[in-house]
Amino acid sequence: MSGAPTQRETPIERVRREPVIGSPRTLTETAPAAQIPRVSLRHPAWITLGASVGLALLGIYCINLTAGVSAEGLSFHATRQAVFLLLGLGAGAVVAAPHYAHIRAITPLLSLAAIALLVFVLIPWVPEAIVKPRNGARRWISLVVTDFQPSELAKIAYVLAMASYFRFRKNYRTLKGLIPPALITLVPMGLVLVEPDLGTALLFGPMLFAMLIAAGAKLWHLALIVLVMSAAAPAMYPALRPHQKARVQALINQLKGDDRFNDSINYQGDRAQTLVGAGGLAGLGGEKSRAVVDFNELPEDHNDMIFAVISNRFGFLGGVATMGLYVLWAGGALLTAAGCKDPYGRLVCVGLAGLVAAQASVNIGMTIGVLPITGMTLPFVSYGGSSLVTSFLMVGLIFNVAMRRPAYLQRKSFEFGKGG
Amino acid sequence: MPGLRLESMFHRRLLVLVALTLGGMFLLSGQLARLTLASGAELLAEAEKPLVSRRWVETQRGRILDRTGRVLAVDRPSFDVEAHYSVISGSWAYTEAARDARREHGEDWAKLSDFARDALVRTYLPTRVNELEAIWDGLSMLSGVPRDELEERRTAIVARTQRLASSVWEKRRLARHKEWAASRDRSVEQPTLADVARPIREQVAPHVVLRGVSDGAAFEMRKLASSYPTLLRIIDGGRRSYPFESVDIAVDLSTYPRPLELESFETVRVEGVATHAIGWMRERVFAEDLARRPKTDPRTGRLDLGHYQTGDAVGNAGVEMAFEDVLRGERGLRRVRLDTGELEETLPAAGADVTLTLDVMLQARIAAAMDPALGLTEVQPWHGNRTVALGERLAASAVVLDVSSGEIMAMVSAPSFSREQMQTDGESVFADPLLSPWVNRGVARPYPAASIVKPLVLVEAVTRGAHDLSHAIECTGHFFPNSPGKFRCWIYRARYGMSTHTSVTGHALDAAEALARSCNIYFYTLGQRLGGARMRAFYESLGVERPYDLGLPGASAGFLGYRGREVIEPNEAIMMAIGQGPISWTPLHAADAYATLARRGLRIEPSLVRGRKRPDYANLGWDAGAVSAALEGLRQGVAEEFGTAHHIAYDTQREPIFNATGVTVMAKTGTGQATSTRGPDPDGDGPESAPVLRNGDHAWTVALVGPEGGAPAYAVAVVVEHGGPGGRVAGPIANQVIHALQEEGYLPGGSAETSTETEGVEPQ
Repeated sequence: MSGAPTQRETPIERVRREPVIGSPRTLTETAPAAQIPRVSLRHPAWITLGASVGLALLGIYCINLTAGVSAEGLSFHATRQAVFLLLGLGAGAVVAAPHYAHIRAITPLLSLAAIALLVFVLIPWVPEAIVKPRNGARRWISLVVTDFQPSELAKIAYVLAMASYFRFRKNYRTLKGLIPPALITLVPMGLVLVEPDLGTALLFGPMLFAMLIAAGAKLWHLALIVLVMSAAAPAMYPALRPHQKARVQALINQLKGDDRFNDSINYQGDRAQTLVGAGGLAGLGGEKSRAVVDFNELPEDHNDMIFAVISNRFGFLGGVATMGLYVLWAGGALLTAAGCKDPYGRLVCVGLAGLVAAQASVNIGMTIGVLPITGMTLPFVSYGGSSLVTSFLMVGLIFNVAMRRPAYLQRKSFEFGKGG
Repeated sequence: MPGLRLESMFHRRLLVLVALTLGGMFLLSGQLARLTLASGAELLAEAEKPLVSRRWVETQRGRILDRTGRVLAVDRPSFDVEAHYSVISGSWAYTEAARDARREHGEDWAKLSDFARDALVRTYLPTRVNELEAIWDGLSMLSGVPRDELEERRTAIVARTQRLASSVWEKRRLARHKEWAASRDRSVEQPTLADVARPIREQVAPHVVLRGVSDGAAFEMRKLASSYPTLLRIIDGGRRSYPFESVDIAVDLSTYPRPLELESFETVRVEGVATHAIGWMRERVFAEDLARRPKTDPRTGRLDLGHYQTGDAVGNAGVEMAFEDVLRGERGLRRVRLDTGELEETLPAAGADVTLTLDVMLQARIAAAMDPALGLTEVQPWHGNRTVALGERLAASAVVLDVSSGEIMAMVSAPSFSREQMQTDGESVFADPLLSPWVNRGVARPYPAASIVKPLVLVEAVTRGAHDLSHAIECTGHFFPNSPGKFRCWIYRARYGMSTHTSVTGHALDAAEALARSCNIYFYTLGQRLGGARMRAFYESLGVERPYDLGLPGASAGFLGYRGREVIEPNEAIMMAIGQGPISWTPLHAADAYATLARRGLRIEPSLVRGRKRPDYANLGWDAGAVSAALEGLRQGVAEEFGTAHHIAYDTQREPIFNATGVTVMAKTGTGQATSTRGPDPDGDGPESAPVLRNGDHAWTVALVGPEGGAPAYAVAVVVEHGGPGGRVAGPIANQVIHALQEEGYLPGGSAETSTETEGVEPQ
């Protein structure tokens, strides 16, 4: 107690020994090197990582299952997916390595790059060797070995950008203050919508709402917006493209019990639900499921419709377990946010949790017939290199936040009292 | 891991997000449970369907045979060619052109307006149209069917399908309109035809465009079809063949009435032998067929292998229709699990044969005798027909029953029609309301019974104690003393000098002579003694009020008593004793009654199909002496000069009606006063306004015939509509029936001439 150094230095003692000059706000704005460099490997992001790997392995198994009864060993698609799983883990590790404050620093740059890529795919004179339209949609940039979908990157960049935007603001607690984030959201959303990729475009909404909820926006404001948008949704119907209208119509018909279109516009939905239901409680087993999936010729069974294969193979229990993995994934991300004091880190975790939970819910919802079919992958599970790698980038980001323990004196963000 | 501190607003908000996530997943789990747990079994069955390849194995329809084992109807192996409706209608060319355009302009396609798309598609159309034309040219070349004819078939199929679609759509619209009208929700627009005009099954299914293709042509066509697997199919099209559809008969004209007699044989081609009885097939499956034999039993869910499929042939008339389920058989089914290769096979079960009691050659011979070219069914000068012009065609029917078994050996209705006529120009069969070829007169049209009932009335009266055979009855010309204009004997007419049988013979008539002379007064007397109730019971015992249960559609009952009135009045009973008044029956009823007489009161229900049911026997308990007297009267009617069935009288000559040797014929003639035959009712307000097509009496002759000196073996009933006097008109036909029985070996005395049988030429 007489000034001799204690055996273990407390944070208070350390701050006193290396005082940081400036207001409390500068505490979080100081250069990363000046921040408290605490790295911990005991954190909830392991849950997220574990769920991710579990989902990816499940995806590889089910992708292999869709190769048909005549396939032997690991199929081409499953092998590629396994390779991309390794790449994804590596990419996640790379993203997790630098302190997320560095990432925050380059967020404006990342956002601009994402916007630029979204614009790039829409430029009509770009050679088809680079951007090849598929079914009239311009979404993919060819990387020779695989295709890259800029909107995948844009979703992450958007989360980073909005986290950066919200971190020291509180004007979003007014209705007027909700307008700027909405306008910012419209930029990537609009570009994705033009591709067209309605499903991905609609994901920006849940991401924004998740971050607003966590950031302390007034819930009744958000509820009001949801109500208004729900009421206005039918008015948007005429603006939909013909194939989008057909999908909505197919869903409405199916919900009404009208099976006349099961061989036309509702073919994919009908086949998917048939395969899902055929799984029963515990699934059909490997070989039978492989045959059933093969001969039912479900379009995109290895991709957007992979949940139908999961349910067919593992039944209701498998389907619920898959949903449970997503809950675990989001739970890990939210626990990470809960353990973080930094507003940027908090919102990054919340935004990514919102993204994955929403994307998984929409994909599962469209597969089991409660939402119209949109071209949307099931995160970590559906076949696709860029999808899997960007999914693990998200895991890396959450891991990054989780590893950096907050300073004890760091001010907790988004605490607006009990109102709200 | 830091603990959650709920006093933190951020943490509370995280809990909100957790709740939202869990809530969403819970809802999704609910739908997942609905699909997997509630509907799992049903959806599994649905999902497994594509794993099983099902192939139906065609069966063979049973044959129809005549009593001698001749094959009357049989399936012949051949192939049919089916084309998808889009090929037939030509829409395939546009669909494919649109696909071509979309493939080539994938990037721009989505941006084009409908009009621009259509214009683009039309640039690709000629290539596809040429391809379509090449398909049809190929079919024409390989089948040998001219292209023009194929075009006609295409047009006919399209027209028929469009008519059907219009009808179905209108029904759908009306049903939707009914729902709309029943609901109170007027925010929903009234349904229009456009709302229900989705393609019907026939617009998305294949149709047969070529039938009866040979093996060689089918092989070549399979090569063509392999290039268009979804558009062209060569299928097993085993066709129903009727070997006795057309038969050439050599008719001995030396036995015909003198004005028609020739010492030679005339070959007559009989088309459509026994068409009425055998029936024919239709190529379309109706909703009624599907409802009658659904693919799976709605109660048990069992698969019926005899269910109907598009393109099946279905029995459409006669035995083909009545015994459809017996003849049809059951398909085989090959089920192959595509994932395991496991094979499960149910072999087809051929339909059972149906054996008729008819002798098709006897039938053909009788039909030939009734060919108008030989004169018996045209009005002749010696017929004495005062209502129908000379040379006019007369409709007639002849039925032959085997006395010992009650089997119908022949049942001819003239005019008739061929199956080819029915299939190619069916409307022409139904175009003549006077001669009505579609009616099977032998069993489907009742006629006033006339004097042919007299021997039966005699037996009944004696049996019931209403008459004593030892009592002769005097013919007074008219039955009621003070009413010379009513209830007269046929002889009491100006043309016969208002004479009576008693004045002609000088004595009262006994039963046999009264029958042979067909004295009305004798039988009026019996009718009066029997009374209405017993008269009704008598005719009922002969089955007059019931249609015969032969298994044939369209069999008709006779008429007994006036409609809506049970009681037979005394005067009606008097008239019914000579077969007039409220009594009519079919030729089969008449033949049945005479066969019963020949069996001395043992009635055997006539049958047309062997083994269908146990023969229905009934002993009517007839008085043996009365039966003998009746048969004696019938014999005298033919054998004695005074018999009404003895001769045809010409201006200066006469000749026997029956001229077959080696046989004993007992017969009774009858001339039935008939109502007019009218045409279709033009205004639908009752038959009275329909135009009268023909008037005059119906001519009857009913005969029992057997070997000379032997018991009657066959009963023959002949009726000629509006033919006039029974003996002169129906008698010669009955005589030819007896000759036909001789020719076919049923009676002794046939000529050495045989017929030549010609199979019908099957149209492709």
